[in-house]
Amino acid sequence: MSKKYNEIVYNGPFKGVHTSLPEDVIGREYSPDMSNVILKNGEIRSRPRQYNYIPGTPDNFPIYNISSFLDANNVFHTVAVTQFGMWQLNALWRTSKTIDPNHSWNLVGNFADEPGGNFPTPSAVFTNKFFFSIGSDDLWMWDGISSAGAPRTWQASTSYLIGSNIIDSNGNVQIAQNSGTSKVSPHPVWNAAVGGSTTDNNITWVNNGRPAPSSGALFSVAMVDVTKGITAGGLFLIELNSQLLLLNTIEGNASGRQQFPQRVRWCPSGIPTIWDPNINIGAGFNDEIDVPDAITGAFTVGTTGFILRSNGITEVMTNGSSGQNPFIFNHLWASERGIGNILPFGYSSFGPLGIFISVDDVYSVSLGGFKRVGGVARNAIYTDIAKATLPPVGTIVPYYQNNYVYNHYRLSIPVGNDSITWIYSIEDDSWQKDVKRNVNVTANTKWVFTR
Amino acid sequence: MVQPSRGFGGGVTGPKTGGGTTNSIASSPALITSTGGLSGAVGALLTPVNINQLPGPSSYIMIHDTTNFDCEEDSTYYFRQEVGSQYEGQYIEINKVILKYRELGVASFTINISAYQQKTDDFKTIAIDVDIPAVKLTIARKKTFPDGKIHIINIAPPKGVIQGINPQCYISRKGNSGPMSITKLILCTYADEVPQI
Repeated sequence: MSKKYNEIVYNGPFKGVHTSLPEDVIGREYSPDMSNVILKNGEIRSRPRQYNYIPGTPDNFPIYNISSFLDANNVFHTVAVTQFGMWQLNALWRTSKTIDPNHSWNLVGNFADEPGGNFPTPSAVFTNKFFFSIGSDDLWMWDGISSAGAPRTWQASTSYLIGSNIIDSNGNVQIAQNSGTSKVSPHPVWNAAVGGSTTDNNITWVNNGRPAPSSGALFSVAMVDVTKGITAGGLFLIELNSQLLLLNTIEGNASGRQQFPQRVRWCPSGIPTIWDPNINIGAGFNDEIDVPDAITGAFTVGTTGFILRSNGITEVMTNGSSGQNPFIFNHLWASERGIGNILPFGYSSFGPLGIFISVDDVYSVSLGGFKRVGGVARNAIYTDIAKATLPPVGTIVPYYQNNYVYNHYRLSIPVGNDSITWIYSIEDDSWQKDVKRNVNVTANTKWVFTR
Repeated sequence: MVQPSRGFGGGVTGPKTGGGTTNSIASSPALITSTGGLSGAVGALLTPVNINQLPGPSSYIMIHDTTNFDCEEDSTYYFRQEVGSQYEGQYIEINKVILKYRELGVASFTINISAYQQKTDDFKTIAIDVDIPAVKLTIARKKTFPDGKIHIINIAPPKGVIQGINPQCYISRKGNSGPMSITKLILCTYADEVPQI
């Protein structure tokens, strides 16, 4: 019997994992399973090598945030936050004879009696300063310049930026409501009343009460009730309309603290050191008590903020006012069951795109609206999410290096001692999978400066 | 009103409590140098991780190195299950594999072909080891290796023709066995022209 020759050809572009149909029905461009390959540019290539590059911090705690920021002197800083404190990467870390934690990191400040939480730390870079909150009732700030966290004393004939804080002769914190230059000596007569203003040449200072805690070069800035000395931190932190927003807040003083899982707090525009509305009406808060669920994340897409809840989403827009109530909160849906974010650290945003994980699918949010992106790999992704033994961590990574651009979303799922990372290629609309043994991811993947 | 002590830690020199300090450093950023810092000349994509092994430090920062595709973990890629002929359920023969790859360096991986055996109700898998470079290089050729170009190899299964129903191919690669980059894979098959009984 004669035989017929046939060729079974596999070539790119390859479209990633497909588990929504049997493996004998899917197209040849799909794969029923893969691990540790990257499908960029139509090739099946073993993924970039991952290895230990910088030692962990000397406290040997898991690192819950790594970030870079540019200070007001145009100097870059790379910082790491742990349960113990915040560390800065030493510029000479690679040139020392031994690459070890003690030579690689310098302590910026530590949290003596309020250890941080066991989850990724939210952070924001705003007005050339680094802000973060460790799941306690503090919003910590470092400007990259201060070696002392407490505000400094007033200086004559000195330029001050809006939001600058000093200690006046009465021991109160004064915050500049605008940028300007202080008068010549002697210092002005300070208004001792909380919330009172003092004119200092062309600067208007406002009395923000007694100083909030400081630790090394870190300064706690979110004093939300100056009279009672109540400070606030939060599980989520974003910037919108030149204002910092703290969400799912923790608030308290030495007498105790309380979590407000539906609260959103904001500072005045451009002044991240004032959070009490009685000091500046541009500060404020809103309790989302008209919806039944807690805040599980927040990100911005363009000029719109999205507050993620476990069963819904709230759109946040500015109303054009810098005074009271600068934001409009619009619940896209507010039922007990609905599309929301179920992984508090699994969402991410980059430019005009945000991605989050709901109970039924992975969604992207853009200026054009919501789109399901779990696609044909959804079943496999959710099978692995169900195996998670620690909170999964999600990040959008626009590029690996300047010469290796691959815009993708990474969801790292700790499964026992190992990590499974699902990678969604935003440009190819495909899902790929990595497996890394004996490693759990503890914070977002980020491009940071190392020298 | 004195702010209650919140318990301040040590660290960088400076006041440890937040009240009535007399630090005389000027407040203008332009007059104060930054504390530490980097030039911003070089960066990398980094992921903080916890290493689950004892003993020793457990916290590290991991890099994703795009100059090196020698993945440290095992890699696998499954293709779909094929019919391989005009008719479903037909025995086919695979007598050659054509592999096109991009030469990135010395590498080893395996092309596995699995086919169903009706007599035993089981799957038989044949492994075809591939080494890059495929031949011993001349001195002149060694100077250009790896050249980053697309190369082609015609591979005959080492133990003869592979027979079975519904073949499925998958690539497997051990960790640290070099950078693999496949651009095209072709299974060359023969099957009866008429349906088998």
